[in-house]
Amino acid sequence: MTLLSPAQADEGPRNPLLGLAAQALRHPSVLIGGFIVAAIVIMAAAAPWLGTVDPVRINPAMRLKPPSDPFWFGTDLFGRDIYSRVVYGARSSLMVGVSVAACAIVFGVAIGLVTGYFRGLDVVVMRVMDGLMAIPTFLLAIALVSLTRASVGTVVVALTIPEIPRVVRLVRSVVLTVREESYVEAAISVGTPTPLILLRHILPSTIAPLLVLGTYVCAQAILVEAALSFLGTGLPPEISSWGNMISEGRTFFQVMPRLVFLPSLFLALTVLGINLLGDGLRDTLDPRIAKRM
Amino acid sequence: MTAAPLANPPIVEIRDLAVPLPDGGDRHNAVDGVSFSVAEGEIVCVVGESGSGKSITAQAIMGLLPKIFAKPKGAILFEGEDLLKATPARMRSLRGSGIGMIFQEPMTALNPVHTVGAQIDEVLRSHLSLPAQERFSRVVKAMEEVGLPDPERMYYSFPHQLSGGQRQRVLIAAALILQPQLLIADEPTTALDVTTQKQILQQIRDLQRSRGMGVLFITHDIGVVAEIADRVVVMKSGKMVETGSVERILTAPEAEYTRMLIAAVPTLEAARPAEPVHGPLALSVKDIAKTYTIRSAFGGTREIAALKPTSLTLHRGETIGVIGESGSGKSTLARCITKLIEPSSGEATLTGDGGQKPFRRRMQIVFQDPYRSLNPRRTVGQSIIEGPMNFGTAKADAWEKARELMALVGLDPAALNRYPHQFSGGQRQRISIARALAMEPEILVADEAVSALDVSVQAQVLKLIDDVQKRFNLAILFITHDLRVAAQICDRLLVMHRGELVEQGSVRAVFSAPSHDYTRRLLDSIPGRRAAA
Repeated sequence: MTLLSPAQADEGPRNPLLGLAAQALRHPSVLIGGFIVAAIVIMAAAAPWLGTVDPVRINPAMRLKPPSDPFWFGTDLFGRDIYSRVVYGARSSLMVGVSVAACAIVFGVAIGLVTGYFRGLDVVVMRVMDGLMAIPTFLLAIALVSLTRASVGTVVVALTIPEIPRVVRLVRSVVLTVREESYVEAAISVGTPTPLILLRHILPSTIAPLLVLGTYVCAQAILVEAALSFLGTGLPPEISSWGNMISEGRTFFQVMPRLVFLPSLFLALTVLGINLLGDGLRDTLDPRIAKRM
Repeated sequence: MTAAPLANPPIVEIRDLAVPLPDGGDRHNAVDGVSFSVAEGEIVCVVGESGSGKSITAQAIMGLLPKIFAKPKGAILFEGEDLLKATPARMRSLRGSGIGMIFQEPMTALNPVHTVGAQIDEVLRSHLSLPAQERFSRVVKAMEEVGLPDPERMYYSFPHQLSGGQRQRVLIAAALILQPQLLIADEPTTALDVTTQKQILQQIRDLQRSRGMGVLFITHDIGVVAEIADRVVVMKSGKMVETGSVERILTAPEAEYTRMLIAAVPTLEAARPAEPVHGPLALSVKDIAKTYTIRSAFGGTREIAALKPTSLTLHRGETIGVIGESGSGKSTLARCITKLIEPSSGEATLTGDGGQKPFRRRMQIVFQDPYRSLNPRRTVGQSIIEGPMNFGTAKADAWEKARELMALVGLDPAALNRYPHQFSGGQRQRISIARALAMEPEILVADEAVSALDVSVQAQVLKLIDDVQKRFNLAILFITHDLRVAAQICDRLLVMHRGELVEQGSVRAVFSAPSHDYTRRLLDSIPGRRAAA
């Protein structure tokens, strides 16, 4: 008997996910968004070597100075270097955004996989999720800050809790579709234990939509963190954050617009970059995701 | 090729049609140099396997080619007018009034949020300006003509309230309400049950005769061709293989491919002897049943018996065919027996000698859809070794076993590290069989395992199942809706209807002397039966 080779023999073994990744890298939104995000990340990581000075050092003698040699963008109300504060501010924003996205995804995936697969749990857990979704981010943050004190951890917790249900819903909807696939039934019929079925056969299908949702959660978290800091319930004032800078600069907005303008510019650029990246990923990885969210 | 002289002038004449494929396809043209015509009052069947370009040809006539295709070359003359040169506005007015079209999937071709009457009415509204009262009466008349019961009430029904056959009738009514000269039917009965298919084919035949229109009928099923065609065009890989009258094509095909296509259609002759198989008892199913309870929001409950109590026994070396139409409970039976769903009552007992082995090692299942039964993100090797490794086989041993099994099912063992999308449908089904065999089961359940395959591939996979049965002395429960396939491979048949086992016996006995009324109807509906007999 002659043995048959695969119908498409010439391309060699190739994981379908890798093919999608290659396709995504050719999308203009992914390229532009990815470039902006990469630039901001490099700026945040290399902050000490970018000609910055200590962003929190107060120098009352140098208050509200125009741009000059050591202070490229001038100084603020307390004589701190605006340029250094903007560069270091990227660190806080990215840290909050990435932490919120990561925490929301870790908890959301765990809850979503289990509720989607076990029907009995579904009714109860999804009602709890509906409840969480109804908590306004700002009220929760204000409550947490007044109970404990302003810190990065408080902000991350306050932003993560309302995001978890969105991840749970997305993961659950993927699980509900994939669990009906014949290959999952096939895995059951060859005796694969349930946890392995969830990890091996169902989890990989959630990766593409989660990447996309992750970018939105991250961008949203950065914006909300800035808003919270602006209201004084976000990061403590001694941390350089774009929200804090905008908040402190608003009193002098008319005389020194750059106090507000520069951090706002970087904030907008970062969120734009992340959103572009997310849109491009959505277009290439999962055209149907819009229906799921 | 001898084209019979046409009695009537052609309605549509296709000359040297070529539809280029985008770069990177398996060939340059999806359709390549196809020429044929459809005359008034005749049904021309375009027959071919998947990928033959038959649907693309139909879409080119309608001017509905997907955007990835470049502009077709050649000419499509509709009553002397070249459709390839027609403006989009002209094509819009022709669709419906000059050419009607019906599709394979009647559920997706209808809009779920509009009543069926409004959807038929839409054809009238977009082509003519008539008062509402007159449109209503014309729609009702059209629905009457296609045999829909109580059309005035059904006008206000939504698609989900209708059966598959009724939906297809609605589509036919919409396609024909403006009395087009040509009807294009793209596999209109493929998604329907065989008894419904028979009625729809009869309906199309009757309407075509009474109106004298031309019909271009696209199908993969030689049986349907025998049932309905006047002339036949055989296509393969975008090229026309042969054309001629239906009698000549079916009785004296010239092309090798046509002969293969006809020979691959299983006959209704029972392939196995009628004597019972005397292997050791492998499976005994006693009064297994499945009932679904639906709770309404107001606390009321409704019970739906998907499977009424059913008993059967299966011996080593024996194949039992479970036949029935959609909703007959045959897949529920397979899933209850394989413990993929929990039966409401009754039980399936494995009675073979492998008493120490766990259940999942003793019974395996092969699924219908080869495109969904393998995880697209795992190599076929990973899929095959998953089962044995679950039960403690070392990876190296499982891999070695997988190599043997790949060769056994006729695939190159070097392809184990490929992903499923690199294989054809038939090859994937071979892989699914290898995955099942890797568990060294005593019983194999095949749930419509060859239904999604082209006939030529179907014949090969059936032979493979037959071979592995002999080699491993397997007991096989073969679920199918296709009586021809069942005749090829089964020793005994169980006929299911609405969740109930209505008849059982040897293939010969059931086919020659069906005792239940439903079995008779089922046998009578097999397309092309008269031509084959």
